[in-house]
Amino acid sequence: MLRNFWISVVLCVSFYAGAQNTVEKEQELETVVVTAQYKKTTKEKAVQKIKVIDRKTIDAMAAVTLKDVLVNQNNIRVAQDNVLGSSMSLQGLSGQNIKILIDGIPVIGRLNGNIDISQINLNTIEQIEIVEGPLSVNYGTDALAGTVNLISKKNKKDGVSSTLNSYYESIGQYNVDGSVSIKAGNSGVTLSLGRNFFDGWNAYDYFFEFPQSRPADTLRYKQWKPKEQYFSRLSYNLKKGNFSFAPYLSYFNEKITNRGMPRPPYEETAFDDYYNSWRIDGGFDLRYTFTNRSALNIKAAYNDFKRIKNTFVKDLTTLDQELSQTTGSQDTTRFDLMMSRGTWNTNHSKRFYNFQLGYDVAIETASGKRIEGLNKEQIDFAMFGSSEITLFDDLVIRPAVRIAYNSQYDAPVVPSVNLKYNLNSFVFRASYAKGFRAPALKELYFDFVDINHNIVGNQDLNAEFSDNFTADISYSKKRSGLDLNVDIGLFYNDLDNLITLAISPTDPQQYTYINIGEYSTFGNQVNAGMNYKGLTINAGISYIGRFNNLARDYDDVPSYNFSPECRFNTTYNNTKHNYSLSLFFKYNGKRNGFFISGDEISESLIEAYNQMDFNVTKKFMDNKFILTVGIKNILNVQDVVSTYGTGGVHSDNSGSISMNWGRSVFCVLKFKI
Amino acid sequence: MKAIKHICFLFTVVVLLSGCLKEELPVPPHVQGDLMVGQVELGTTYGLQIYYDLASNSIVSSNQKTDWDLSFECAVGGWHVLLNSSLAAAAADLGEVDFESVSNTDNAVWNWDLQTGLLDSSAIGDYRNLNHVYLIDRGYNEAGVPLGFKKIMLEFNEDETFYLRSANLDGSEDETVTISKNPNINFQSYSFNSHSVVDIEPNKNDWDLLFSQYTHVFQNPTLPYLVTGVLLNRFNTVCAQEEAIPFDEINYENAADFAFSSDINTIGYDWKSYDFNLSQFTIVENLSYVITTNDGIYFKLRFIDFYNDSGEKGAPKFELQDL
Repeated sequence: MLRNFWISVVLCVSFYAGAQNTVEKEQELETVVVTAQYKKTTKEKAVQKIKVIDRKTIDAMAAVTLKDVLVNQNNIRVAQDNVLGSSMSLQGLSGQNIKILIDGIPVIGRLNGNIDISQINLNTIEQIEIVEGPLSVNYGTDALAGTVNLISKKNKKDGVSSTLNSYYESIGQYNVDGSVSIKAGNSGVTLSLGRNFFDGWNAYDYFFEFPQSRPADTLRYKQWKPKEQYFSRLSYNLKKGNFSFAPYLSYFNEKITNRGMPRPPYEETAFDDYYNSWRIDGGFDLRYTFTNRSALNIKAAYNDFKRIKNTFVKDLTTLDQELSQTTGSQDTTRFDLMMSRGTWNTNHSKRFYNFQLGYDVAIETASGKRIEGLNKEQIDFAMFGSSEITLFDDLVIRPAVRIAYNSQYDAPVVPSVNLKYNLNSFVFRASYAKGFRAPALKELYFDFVDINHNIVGNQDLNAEFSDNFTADISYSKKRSGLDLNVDIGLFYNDLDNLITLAISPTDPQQYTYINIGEYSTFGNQVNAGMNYKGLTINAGISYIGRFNNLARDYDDVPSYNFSPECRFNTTYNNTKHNYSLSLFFKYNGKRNGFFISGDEISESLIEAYNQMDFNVTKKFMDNKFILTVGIKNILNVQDVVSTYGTGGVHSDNSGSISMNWGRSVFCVLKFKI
Repeated sequence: MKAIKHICFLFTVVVLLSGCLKEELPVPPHVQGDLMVGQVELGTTYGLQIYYDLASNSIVSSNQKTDWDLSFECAVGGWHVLLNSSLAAAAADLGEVDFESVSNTDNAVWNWDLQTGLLDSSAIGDYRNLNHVYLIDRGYNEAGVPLGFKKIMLEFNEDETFYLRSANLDGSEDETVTISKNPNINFQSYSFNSHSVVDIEPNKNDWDLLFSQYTHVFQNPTLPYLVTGVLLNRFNTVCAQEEAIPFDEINYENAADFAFSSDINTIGYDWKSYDFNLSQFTIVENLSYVITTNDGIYFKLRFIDFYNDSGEKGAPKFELQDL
């Protein structure tokens, strides 16, 4: 089974047929990555350090969306908003600096700079690749803190195959998805469909509570809002000799229902909000390998994201509702992206250098009530190039540069250089990369002026820049059934020109966006993993320091606030009886910060919290039927205390942040034929 | 055949494990009893001022809050001049300076009328026999647009009339008017826009409450802030706020022991609060008011909403009962 799995992983990311088969066989047990690579390559050979979360891990975690996987990663923190969803930060940098890609195509729909990672379903995903540090040369804006690239499953098996999966969780999650694939000869087609439903959750809910009609009293209001998602994806691929072509179309709809608190004194009316999001993505991936082995890859895509908020006034005695007339209660936000990225690279295994040339074009539109003129467009055209130079067999140097034209601001020139050096069982990596984040259309064209607000965009904004330095040592050893690997890494990010909302220099009554902020983060991490006779253990510690702006002006404020993280995952896989046990644990350390309130410096604090899940998986009927049961959030962490104030016993500004719903049990059924 | 059986089984499981958001059941409406209900709509940006009569539970008159700028006391012997508090207007006493030479607001130390309505603490203060020049910051309209500045001089004449000289800071629109008292109202309003007196306030015996924005000057640090609420008719209307006794149990007997106040902001704005978690205004629970009107009638009143039926804010809704 394990062998089959790895073969399929290799196949699914394999874009190079024919001549390379012998190479692939050797790589069967290696993890293969594609993000920012000239061709699919093993994780060990990639010049960047790439973290891989494979399908096996996704299944073992019983993860439904990207959020479920990332909560367990070191250097990543996930935050929850009842309405905006789940956002992530990486290396201490916020979500607006993180690029999220599906097969190299950017995911759009940033609300307040963040993509809701709970909208990204993993049912069609084969593996997740995370690159920390900028990949701005390849992927342009936002790829500053890092890049998360989700790789779709590819058609593996000839003939007809289908899957059916269901997920039930006691807090009220009812998910189901399925797919049908047909593969014949050179081409294959896959259709997948799914629905996730969550009935909302409050701390005082019963452990098991099934949806039922109940009176519209104060219990109608949920801390975690009911949510319903529908998603589907249709993909096709054709592979003929050196040519492959893979178009796809996907659809996503999410409806969040926020039933309002009945309003005192009579509790007969409430304001109900509905948030409807749609994603429609279509595109293709085209590849051709020339006889001299150089390879051409062209991707093109159109992504559409729309979100509509409606507020209704609901009469709870009759259940009639009418649209609220209050300004701001109805809102539509829309983003469109038309993009194409192409690369051409040489691929001579014998020559000491290879190079890649590429272009990246994007036409992005944002529309919404608070965008000046209601609708704005920006066009970005970039060329990038890189070269991989191998010296003395063991040293690889990859310099790269991107130049760009943008219709709205002066696009920066972005260089990077990566080094990799192999010495016996050790791999040393070091890199310098410049990252950037283009001013978002909102920051350029925001227009929000009324009696309480006076905020406008600034069309003279420049991009935010970062300089990232990374160094990493990995050690790996395979001996008599024991796989061992250890890596130690360091990073430093220095951000400049940060776009900050500040009082306008020309009009003191007005707020606008200005390039004034500075920020930096640095950190280190140590990870160790071992695999012996079905027992796998992965553990890691990371420590991130976040720069304190106030340190410059106040001596008693430390320059950096440090916060630790730690993870421990273990799986025992019994191949004889076809079951496995998994434990996932992550500790997120206390985070503090400083701010000025009145004339005093105050400290803010988010307390530490833990996340722990335990699962058992059993496979039946020749692996056609898989049952997983488990406990999520064993430690029952729900709200995390956050304090804003001078601290100590007199602090009355203590609140809490929603982190997770309560402890729950879940059950997953997977069936495939 | 076996596969079909499996599929049937699995579909059953899937159907059993799928849910959907169920329709709610309606809650029973409350019994209204013999309470009167009133509601006024100031607009979502609070642009209106509404004068209200409790005995008839009806609106007496309403006006745009930008319709006037200054108001002049009409009681016999009264000489006070007040600002339009609903615009966050402010005044600065520049002392005895040459009227023509005042062209900017550089030396202005701004003052606001007190929210309690205390006339001795008005922003302009006692101007009589001083020949001072005052700067007036006219405040801002409901869209947040500043209305600009005026410089003025005031006199109170022995014949119970007011003398007002006003001009823009650039010297334009320099004019002088005489304003006479109207004995039927508390204050006579004047507008810089129309350069004349305007009829804003109804007959002082005809109204009890004014629904409007007004300036509340918070202390430490001094922060004048526009709030939306209810002011009393300063002519003989008094009010008591009650938290201990529930609204239903307030009657003529126990109301007699309440502490009545003549501060015009006794009802004020804080019967509602903004809930940042819910992003909406909520009515503060267990706050009742007993108002003695100038006819000597006791009314109890409590607020039940700040939104109209279409969900628009700025529409105080209240229950009212004659005790």
